[in-house]
Amino acid sequence: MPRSSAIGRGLAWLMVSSVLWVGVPQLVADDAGKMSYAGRPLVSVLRDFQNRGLRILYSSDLVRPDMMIGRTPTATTLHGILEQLLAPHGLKPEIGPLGSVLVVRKEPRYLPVAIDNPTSNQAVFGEIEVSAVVDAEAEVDRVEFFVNDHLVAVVADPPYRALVDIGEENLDREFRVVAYGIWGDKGTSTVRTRQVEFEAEVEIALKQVYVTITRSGDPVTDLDAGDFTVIDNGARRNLVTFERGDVPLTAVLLVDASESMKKGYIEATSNGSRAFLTRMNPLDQAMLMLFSDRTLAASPFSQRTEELLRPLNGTPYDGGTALNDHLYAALKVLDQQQGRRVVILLSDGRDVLSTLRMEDVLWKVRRSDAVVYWIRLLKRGRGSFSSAWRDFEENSREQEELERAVKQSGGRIVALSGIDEIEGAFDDIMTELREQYVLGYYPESRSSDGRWRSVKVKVEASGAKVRYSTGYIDN
Amino acid sequence: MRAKAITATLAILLLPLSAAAAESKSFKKKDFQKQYRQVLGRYAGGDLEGAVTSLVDLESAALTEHGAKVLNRLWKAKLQVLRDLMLEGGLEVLAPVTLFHEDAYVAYLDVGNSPLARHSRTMTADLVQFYSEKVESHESQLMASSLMASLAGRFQEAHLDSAAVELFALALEVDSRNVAALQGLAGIYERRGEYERTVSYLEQLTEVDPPNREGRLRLAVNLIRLERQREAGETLRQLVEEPDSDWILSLAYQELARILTENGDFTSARTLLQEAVHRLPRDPSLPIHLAYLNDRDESVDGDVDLLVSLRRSAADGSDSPRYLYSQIPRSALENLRRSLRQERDHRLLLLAAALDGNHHFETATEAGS
Repeated sequence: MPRSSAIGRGLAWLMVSSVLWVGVPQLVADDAGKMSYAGRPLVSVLRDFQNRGLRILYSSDLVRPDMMIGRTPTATTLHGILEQLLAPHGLKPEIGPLGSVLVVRKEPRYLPVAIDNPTSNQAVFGEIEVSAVVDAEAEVDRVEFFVNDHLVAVVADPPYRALVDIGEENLDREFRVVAYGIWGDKGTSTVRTRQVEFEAEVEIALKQVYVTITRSGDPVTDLDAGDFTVIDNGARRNLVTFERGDVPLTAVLLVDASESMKKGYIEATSNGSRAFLTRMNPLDQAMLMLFSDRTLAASPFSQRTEELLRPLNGTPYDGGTALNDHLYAALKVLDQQQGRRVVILLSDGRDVLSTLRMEDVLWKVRRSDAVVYWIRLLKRGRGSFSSAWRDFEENSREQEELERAVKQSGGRIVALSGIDEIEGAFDDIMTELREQYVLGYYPESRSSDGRWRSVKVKVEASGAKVRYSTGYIDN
Repeated sequence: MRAKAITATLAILLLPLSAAAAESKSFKKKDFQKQYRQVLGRYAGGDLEGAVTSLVDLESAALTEHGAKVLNRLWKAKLQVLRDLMLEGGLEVLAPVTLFHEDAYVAYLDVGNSPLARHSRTMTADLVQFYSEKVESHESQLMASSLMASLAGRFQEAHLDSAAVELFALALEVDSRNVAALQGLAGIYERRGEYERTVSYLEQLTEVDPPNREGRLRLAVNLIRLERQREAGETLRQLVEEPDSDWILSLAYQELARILTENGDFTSARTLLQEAVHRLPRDPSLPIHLAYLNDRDESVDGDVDLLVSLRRSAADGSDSPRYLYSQIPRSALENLRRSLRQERDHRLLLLAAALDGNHHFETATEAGS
């Protein structure tokens, strides 16, 4: 019911009743203002009125002995006083025959209230503020807040607002407030919010692309956001973030420590890892993992160089090589980390003992944001070998797939001629990470259909070579 | 052809004494032969390791003193001694002597003496083939087959696969139920990627030795390679139902899970791997495989903290099941060598008797020369 019409009807009633109450003995009216009420049974007060000459008639079904008066009326007229005494019990006074006053059942008086947040058909999730507006002139006892018929808050004083956590589920919900006046009047208001239609449910996740740009082998570091164009799945996207390589990174240094690794390798690995780790920024972190056919040693994620290098002390280099398994493990542990993620693999790339195939790792690479660098210890090519688990052809295919995985992640292969180049390789990779551009954008839409979405980055820089992850699986 | 396998130099064992090669002036053959007999005497007396060390010292000194050309003379000198022993004690004295030279071959490999390792290897191979051709009793035939398989195993360990294949095959010709030979051949062909032949040998092996867990696992792995998934699955199921908790069980679980994932059933594979992790909590490879299956199945139910698992497994230090699988199968060879040592010990008495009996013969020969 509209507020204006409710108030109008109430005023009209008062005008009519004031006229009818002319004629009630003045004595009763004068005494009524002086009597005490609070804490007394209603029936006792009505008897007092009767004793003072007011012909007040009531049924014991309506006025029961257990009805107590809560507060002293504020009204100054007898009608007003009676009305305030009876209203909390759902009763009201009415002019009866021959100047009598009848106590009758009262239709509840409407207390105007409305929900102003949330609004109808809005989609709401999580913690929200539900807010109600009550008629400014009303004397409000309390406002109760309900969500889907569950009482979630009671507010006694204005402003009538409640902070409610409604969860993240995509559901229709009903918000209801019930306002109670101190004289028994009552008002209610309901708002229904709607779930987001499935077709319209959009995962808004910022996508980041790490872009390395070189010209004649030297890094190009003076480009601005306007020099880049990102095309995601064929659609040009606006950049919403643009940063250079100081974005914090989390790295896994994955070191092949199988028995095939030559003398001097341990020291070179230690020097290389140290070269990388000591250049980490305060918000960067890393872990170091040594592997052969099993995990030989692994540090926790840390920022402290000495803690990270500890696995290199005294770990025996032995066993075969399970590269695929450990590259997968590195990507998997990075899933739990935030921000820019990097794997630096140091190995000759000859996997012989993994449970997983490189195609399994490639599956993971396509779903991970991590960039994989491979410091390849044998520059002379893939080589040909067989093992108990794979023949020549399969082993050759595995190495091709590893190369593909590295390139698809946006990383690169750093091929070495000898172990004396390991330290420089680690250092170069850290330099490259510091010189990378980090472009952030929102994909046009995400269907989570597990399909490959290509990414293209165009750069306004003549003669520049651009490297980045060429796509991702939308899931 | 087996006859061709006996090298021309072995023919000396069949020749009369007068046909033996002339003694070199610089190389004192008789002194060497005397010392060789002493070494064999130590061996026959039970000082097995001491005898091998003495032979290595003796031959190494000769090689150092006279150079590579002495190897042929050593060969002939030793064969003359063996011929004498054989005449005195019969063919069976060759069995312990063959094992003695196999041990010497291993010792030369250990010290990295390539010329004498080659020399010793060829001599042992020739001796074992000669013995095999000449003996007639069933028991001796089995002994010959075992000797050939044992030596073939040494070749396999030294990555001399062609020589190993030849000798394993000869061992099987003599005894088609030689488990070590079947396992050895299967291992070599598996490494070569010849999976049909691998399966053929493994099928024979599991027929001859049904409880052989390693043989059954290898058969299942190779059946998968031949796309005989159903048969492989049955074998793997039997393995996981057995109570053993070892690397074979781990691989049986993993390969069974692989069959399931190739059919797209990641959920069943994941459940299976969870069971495996429960039974083999210290296995270093299962947590990674399980993490992958959880990933593929888009499930975190039963997921493990991979980093914690990897660090625990690093501290534990167990070899990975795949590493153990990739090693040369040793179980059958170890059984065979254990049995060979017992047979050798019985025959050492024959060798000792032959060495004693030959004393007069040697004296007469020396007097007549």
